[in-house]
Order: sequence, then structure tokens, then C-alpha cells
Amino acid sequence: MARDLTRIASLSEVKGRITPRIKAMRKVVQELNDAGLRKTKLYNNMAASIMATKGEPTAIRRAKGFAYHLNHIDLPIYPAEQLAGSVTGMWPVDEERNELTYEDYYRIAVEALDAYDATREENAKQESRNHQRANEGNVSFEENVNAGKMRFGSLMARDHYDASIPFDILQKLIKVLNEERADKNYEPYEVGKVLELTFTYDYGQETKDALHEINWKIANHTNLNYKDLVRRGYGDILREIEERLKAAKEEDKKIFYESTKIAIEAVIAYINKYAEALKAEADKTECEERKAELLELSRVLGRISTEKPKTFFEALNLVWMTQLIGNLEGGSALSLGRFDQYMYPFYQKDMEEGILTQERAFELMCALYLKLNEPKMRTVQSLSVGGVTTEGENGANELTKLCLEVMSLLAMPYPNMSVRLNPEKSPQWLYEEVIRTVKAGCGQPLILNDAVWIPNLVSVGIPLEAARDYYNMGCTEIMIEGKECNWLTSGMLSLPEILADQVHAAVEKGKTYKDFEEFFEEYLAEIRLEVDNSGADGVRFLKAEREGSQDPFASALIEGCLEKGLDYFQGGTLTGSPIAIMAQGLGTATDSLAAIRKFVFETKELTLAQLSEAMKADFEGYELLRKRLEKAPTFGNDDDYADQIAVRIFDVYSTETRKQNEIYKLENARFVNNVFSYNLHIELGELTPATPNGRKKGEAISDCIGPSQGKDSNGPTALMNSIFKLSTDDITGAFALNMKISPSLVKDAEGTAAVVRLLQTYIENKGAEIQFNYVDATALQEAQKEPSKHRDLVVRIAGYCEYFVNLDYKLQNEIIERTLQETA
Amino acid sequence: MDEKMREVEGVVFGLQRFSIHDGPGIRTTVFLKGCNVNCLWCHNPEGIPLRQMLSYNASKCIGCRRCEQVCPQGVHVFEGEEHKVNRDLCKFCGKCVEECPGEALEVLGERMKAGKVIKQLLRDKAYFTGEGGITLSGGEALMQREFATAILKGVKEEGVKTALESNGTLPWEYYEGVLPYVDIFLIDYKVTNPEVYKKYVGGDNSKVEETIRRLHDAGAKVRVRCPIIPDVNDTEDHFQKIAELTKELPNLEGAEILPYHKLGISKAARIGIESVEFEMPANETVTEWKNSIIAMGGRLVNID
Repeated sequence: MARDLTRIASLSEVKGRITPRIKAMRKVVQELNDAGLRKTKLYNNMAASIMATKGEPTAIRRAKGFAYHLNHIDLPIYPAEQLAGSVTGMWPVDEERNELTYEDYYRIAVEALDAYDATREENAKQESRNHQRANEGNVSFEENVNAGKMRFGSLMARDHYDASIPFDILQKLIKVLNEERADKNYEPYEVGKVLELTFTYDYGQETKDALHEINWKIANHTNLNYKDLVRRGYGDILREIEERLKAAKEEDKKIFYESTKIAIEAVIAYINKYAEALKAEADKTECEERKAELLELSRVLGRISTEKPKTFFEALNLVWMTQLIGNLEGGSALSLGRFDQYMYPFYQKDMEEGILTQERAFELMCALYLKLNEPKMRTVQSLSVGGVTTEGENGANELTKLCLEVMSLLAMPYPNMSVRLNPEKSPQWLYEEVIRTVKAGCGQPLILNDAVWIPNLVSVGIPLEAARDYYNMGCTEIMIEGKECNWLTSGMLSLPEILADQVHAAVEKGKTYKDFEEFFEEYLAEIRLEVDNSGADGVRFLKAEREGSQDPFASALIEGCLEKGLDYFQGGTLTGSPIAIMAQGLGTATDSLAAIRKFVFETKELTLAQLSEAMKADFEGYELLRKRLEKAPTFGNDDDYADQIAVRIFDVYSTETRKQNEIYKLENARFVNNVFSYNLHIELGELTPATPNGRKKGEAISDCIGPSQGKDSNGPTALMNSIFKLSTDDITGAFALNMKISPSLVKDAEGTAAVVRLLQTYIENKGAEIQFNYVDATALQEAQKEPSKHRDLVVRIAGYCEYFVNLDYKLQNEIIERTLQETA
Repeated sequence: MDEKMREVEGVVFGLQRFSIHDGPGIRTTVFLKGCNVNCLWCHNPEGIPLRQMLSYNASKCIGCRRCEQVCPQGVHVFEGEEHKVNRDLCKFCGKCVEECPGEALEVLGERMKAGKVIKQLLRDKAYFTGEGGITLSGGEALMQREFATAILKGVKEEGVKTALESNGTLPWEYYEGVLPYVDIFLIDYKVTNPEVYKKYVGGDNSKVEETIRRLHDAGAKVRVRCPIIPDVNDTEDHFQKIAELTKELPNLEGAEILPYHKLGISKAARIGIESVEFEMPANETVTEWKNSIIAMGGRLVNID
């Protein structure tokens, strides 16, 4: 039954495996996404329960709220579905809102902007360059980001959690209103920001108060330990809880176990309710084939509600149901973890026993991927394959291959898929599978290097066997499967902005420098200071995140909590939370410093004062100077002049981040670095003034670890060589290198082999992470002009993928610019 | 390699990294200036003369006149809006290039020592594992025979695989001399008919086939590269000959079809020379060409 793994199917061969069922499921997902705005039942359900449980212990109220919610949502069943359960059950379509026309939205927007203008001056307050300072209060990541100047939702490109305005209308309004009010000279983020806040659903003060009353926190940005779940089943977990409850002596432990018991019983009840709903649906169904499918699904759900799964199909249903429930609870960026590892024993057994065919397994994997592309599921949920096993041997198997083939066929943004490559253990075929998938042109998968991540995780205190079970959580953030609490972010350093401030401050203070080194040292000292501030923020942030927070459902699943008798948020999880200190815009900062070094300190054709003046004028009237600045050496071209600047910035930032661990010695949390940018290169770009590399105010800063957009003109090997110069020892949180590969360059056999070799060289030389955009700039430009004809074009933005036509216009332009120089 | 060879100088007009269509694997291609023929479709017209050249890209000129101010030779003259470039006066000092904010100017051709070229090539050594390596191209790489030999020998000693691209028209001893240092020869087989060859390539093609055969018989790995230009050599008898060559020479790696493209046109304009434009073949046409050669029993490489 085993396949010849070394045989790589061509793209057209994979595309030929689409079945009528897959087509039908795909159509359903498309229709769900096209159904317009949806409004959640979550907040009102939670609040209703909280208000009814006054006086009870918080953990119990939290658990009852969870149970109440699962019992008060719909159980939709869609045609052709091979996996039951949809998050749309708590997100009914908002018919009323969907009737609003563009003119209606426009009218509301104008009123909101008028009101904003009236108090604009007064509200413009100075903000830290560290764009995410810890909030003392109880806020979500989205709320926190929204509290600052940045616009988040209108850049999210996917339906932002509380979105209550169609994305294309929002985009149009931003453009139109900026044009109409040109005299206001809005900052690039302002209009978007006002509109986002204006059109966010309001669930009422009563609801808000109720949620804040018990500090409603949800397990998110983690993995719910499917590895253990598929070996045990909910029944076994419930038995463990009951035993521990019986044995518990202290009151708080009793309450904790009681809360997890309520949560797991609620899960079992929910799955059984779905089983009943499926049976009822089967009774109504005339088509015999479909009726049988529904009955089988119903039987399977009934079984796995308590029993441990026996087959691949049962295990898949259990995993999906749990992933769904995590989302129903309000969790975002929940990852499927190392799917090909924990599911392989089921796959292998079924194949050996002849009860599963490759065709059926392929179809079921399509079903899972499609589920992750349903509306409101699109919070960058990831799936990781490959790498070594927990024991350190090659883990790539037939299922790894299948997961990649399904991605090649569907070419959709989710799951955000990673392939772990191990330079010593991963087989050659896996590299080739990766490149075939890259050539499907949807930016998938991203690639992680075991040789970097495993030792580095060990270096921050993760036991070796646990480190081998790392995965990409959400985008490219690295976490340990099934053992961690939420990923947190405590600092967001904008490296270009720190430099711009230094230039202006030096001039204002009349400071002089004897050489570039002195100037650069001052900059590095500022970075140390900002990282230290982020460390202090992190400690407060962790406290705010955890104080009083509970998640009984996650506590029952994640390793460590039941054993310790401690909630997920209270230090129960085995390896705790990563706290990321982000650094953004390394390329822009490096190029800026190279320009200062060359023109201010070497050729001396420019003084800092002149530079500051030109930057303050946003280079208006200084176009020749701006062009001159652009000619300085830039990062990403294997040129030490610029690269060594980047090396030192990265080194100072990373070692200082690591140092925070020694300073604070946090229990159940670790500081990690993160140079992955999500949308931040656009958002921070909008806030960052003109920079010394000739970049104008508001333009994007460089993304992730990459060069300034389009400035890497010596090709991919030179770019990689620049990256190799950065020390890999302190990469502990997230890292991303976006590489564009032009289809016209590598479409033939020799080109494909060359890209495989390129990837191998990157892994052999300890490149931490890489992701490819395999699309020609012309295709993107056409899609921008005629979006309706290019709805299926998926691109990689930073650590995640999205439909190109759904992106903010600025983000589209930035990606076109990144891609253009490739073909020039 | 002795120091003396490292000191050999030559004129290079480009080092292209991640070059994946000049031989197998990931390669860095070195473009050496100077050519003994003059193909009308040449995509590197700047490589034909051995001398250095000043390239001016009018579309990038922003009219700031900085070049005019810094040039000691008076190469750049502005007549109203128009930027005139008196290339004959240029001494290639590069001052205007350094100064030009629009990056419209470039000196093509740099005198380099073999040792420096080798050092630069080795920067990508990590990527060359497997089949990759370096390729000498041009111009006609062997026109700078001593320099080319020094580079080939030098990188070979570092364990890097080499490819040499040549038009195949040079005396046998040129090829014989580099045989120990070349892993694969990429020999152009442009036109079969001697008259047509003379008209479009501007030389004598009598040695080309002989070069291919002798390299083959000497045990060298050879790939035949065939630029196909619509209405010039897209003919039955040329295709037949390509097929025959690959049939007669069993150890030949195969023939590679290089469809005409217009890259050379804009480059020619930038260096101020005339160029001839041919018709770009459609993708389907290229597939037809390949299929007909295969149907004649020819062996092609890199076809998909």
C-alpha cells in the first residue's frame, strides 16, 4: 500500500485529482464567504451566562459561560460536507447590515469623520516609538493594536474579527474620503482608523461590563494538544478530571477541576448535539449516497464525543471538532500543530487494513483545508509538517506528502502551512515536494529549519524532546505543540523610526560625532534601551494577561494544567508563554545607516543638519539629494558595507532580548525575538517619518528580515548570503524571509532543480525561515486592475497568505514593488 | 594556481549570480568582452567589442545635468531638453556614473584581475554543490584566452564545476587548451547554411561542427545550444542537422533550443548602436520547433 515517496507528482497531475465532492465543498465555502457581514453570538451568550452566575467562583462562571455558549448556537450542516461542524453556527449573516448600500456607509462615514475632525487636534497625542506598550487593562491583541494610532482591520485583508463593513467598501471609503478631504492632510492611517472604529459592532455596555467582570480571556495563538487528544479521547480526559477532583484537597484545586469538568462535559454534549443534528438531516435527505454519508458522520461524532478514535476519519473528526470549539470560544490563530505526526499512525493503520484509500484521504484533507477557509475561521490557523520526530528521527511520511499535494491542488491561503526541513534527516523528496507546492503559486508553504529552531528553543529552556515538537503558530511564530499558553507581544520596535529620531535630536542638540562608529553606537544604545523597556513592559503585560484569567477548556487539554491543578492562564501549562519583543524595518534602518555612513561621514558631502532638514521636508525640494541617498549600499546584496550594519543591529537587539530572561527570570514565560512583520511594515510605515535612505514619510518600511522593497538587485543567492551573515544563535521567536521567484525564470526542469538546490543551500547554511512568492509582477498588476477576474490569486504577505484582491491597496502596491525588480 | 595567473587581467562586463540557463544547476555566469562574430540577434551587443563602453538609458535620465558638470571630457551635452552623449570622447573614468542620481549611466566593461573574479565567483560556492558552478560566457569567452583559462583553472582548483560557452569557430588549440578545466562545453550551433551564417552571424561556420565533434571525441561533455530566429534558421534542414548531430554523437548531452528574444534591442540603444529586430516566436511555435526536432530523432535538453 505504501507509495513511492520519491516520485513527485507534477502540478497538473495533482490538479487532476479534484473530485466532484471537492468541487462541491469548495463551492459551499465560496458561498459562505460571499454571504456578507456576520455578527457573532459569542459576546451576548457569554454575558447572559455571566450575569446568571453572579456569586459563583470565577473559574466556574467562566466554564458555565463556555457551556452556555455551546448550547446556544446553531448547528449548520452544509451540502457535500465531509466534516461536520461550522463556526458559522455562531456567526449568522447580518441581513440588516447587508442591506446597507455604499451611500449609506458613506453617509455614516462622513458624520464620523466630521466628529473626529472636531476633536482631532486635541486627541493627537504623542506616542512611544515602541508601538506596543503594555496596557495595564484587560484588552485583546486587536484592541491593544487598535488603541494606538495604527489601522489594523482595514489592513487585515481578511475579515477582521469584528468587521461590520464590507472590506471593499471600507477600502473605497478610505480612498474617497482622503481625496475629498485633501486639505486636512490626514496622516496615512487616520481615515482608515476612524472608519474601523466607527463600523465596529457594538454589543452594548452591559455585555462589555459582564465580560470585563471576570476578565474573559481565551486560549488563542497556541495549539490545543491534538497530539495527546487523539491518543486519549474526551472520555479519558473526563475520567482523569473526575479522579483528580475526588483526590483534590484544597478548595482552589477543587474549583479548578470542577471548572474543567464543566467544560469537557459541555464539549461532549456539543459533539453529541451535532451527531443528532446530522441524523435528523439524514432523515430528511433523499439522496441515498448523501444520507449514508450523514449517518456515518453522525455515528462517528457520537463515538468520538467520548471514545478515543480508531480510524483516520474518526481522528480527523475529533481534531476538527476541537479546532472548531476552540474557535467558537473565541480563540484565534489556533494551530493544528504537527498534523502529519499525530495523524500518521491512524493513516498508516487504515491503509494497511485497506479501509482507507489515497483518494479518500486526499478528499478528507481537502475537506479539512476548506473548513479553515470558511468565513471567521481565517485567523491564520496553521498546520505544520515534516521535520524530525519527538525522538529525533526523520518524521516525513506519506501523510506529509499528501498534505502538500492537497495544498498544491487547492492553492488557498489557509491553513498557513509550514514544512520543517532538517538538514541531516529530511529526505530529498521533501525538498522537491516543497518546490512543487511553491510552484502552485499560492505562497505556500513556508519553510522552517530544524537546525536553527531546535537548539535555539533548548537555549531558552525548552527540553530537547519538547523542542523537537515545535511548530509555526499562526504565521511564523515558533511554539511548542500542546504545552504552551498564549503567544504574547510586549514590544514593537520600529528600527527606522528610532534612527530618524536620533538624526533630528542630534541636530537639535547641536551634537557632533567624531566618526560614524560613535553615531552608530549611540543608535545601538537606544535599541538596548527600547528592548529593556519592552522587557519591563512584558512583565506588566504578562500580569495583566493572566490576572484572574481562566480557560477551563484549554486547561483540560494542554499538557501540565491537570497535573498541576492550575489553569492555563495561571501557570498550568508545561512550557508557558513566549513574550515577543519585535523589531521591525531592519532593512530600512540598515540602508539609512549606510547612507549616513557614506554621505555624512565618508564623502562628507552632507551634514547631519542638512539631512535632518531634507527629511523634515519629506524631501520636498530635495529630490536630487533623495536620489543620491538611494545610491548608498543597501542590505541584501551580499555587500559587507551595508550587511555588517545589519549584523550589529540584529545582534544587539537579539542578545538584549535574550538578556531580559536573565533579568526577570520569569516563571512560565520566556522573552523571544521576533522579526516577522505581518502587516506592520505597512502600518508602521504609515507612522514613520522620512528616513535617511531616501524613503518618504508614510511609505512602507522593509518587511520581516528582508531588504528595502526592490533593493536586492543581485539575485536570491546574494540576498541569502546577506541573511547568512546574521547570527542565528539568538533567533528564538519568529523570523521570516520573503523571497520572490519569478515563474518565467524557473518554470522549466533546470529552473526547478535550481530552486530546490537554492532551498537546500539555505537550510544547510542555517537559514531560519523562508517563504516564496511565486508570481510575476504583471499578473499582480492585472489583478489590481481587474480584481473580479483574479479572485483566486493568493500571495504571501509576510508570515501568512491572502487573496491578492482582498488586500489593502497599499499592501497590494508594496507586494508589486517587491516583485517587480525580479523581472527588471 | 600560481600568483602570475591570478594577476592576468581581462575585461568583464557582468557577473550574473543565480544564473540558471547557462548550464545545469545554480551558476554564476561571467561575461567576457569581445567577440569574433556579430550575430544580428545578439542579446548582449555590449559584449561584442573588447573595449569599454558608456551606456546611457534615456528613460532614466531626470535631466539634472550633474553628469555635464563633472565630466572632464565633455561627453555629456544638453541641447535644450535633449541629453547628447558623445561616446567617442569618453575615457571611462566613471565620474558621471557615480554622480548620476537616476542611475541612467553605466560603464560597461571593467578591467579585472583573474584572482578578483575568482574571489567573487566563490561567494556563491555553497550553492554550486551538485551540478552547478560557474559559466564563462561573452562575447566569445575564448577571445580572452589567457584570462579565461586563468579563471577556469582557478575555480576548478577550489572544487567548483565549470562551463564554457563558445561559438565554436575558434582554432582547435583554443578548446584543447582548456579541456582539463571545463566540465561542460556549451557550443552554439547557430546556422547550418554557410551563406546564411555569413549573412547573419558574420563569419565562417566551417569549424563549428568540427569543434563539436572533436570535443565529443575527446570525451568532453558537450551541450549544443541553438538560437532559433524566425525567418532566419527555423528551417527544416537546420532542424534536421541539429537532430542528426545529436544522433551521430552519442555522448553529446543534447541540444538546447533558445528561442529568439528582444533583450538586445534596448541594450543596443543604450550603447548607441544600430540593431535589427526580429519577430518574437509565440510559445506554441517554440513547442512546434522542439517537437519537430524530436520527431526527427533529435535529443533535446531542458524541454519542459
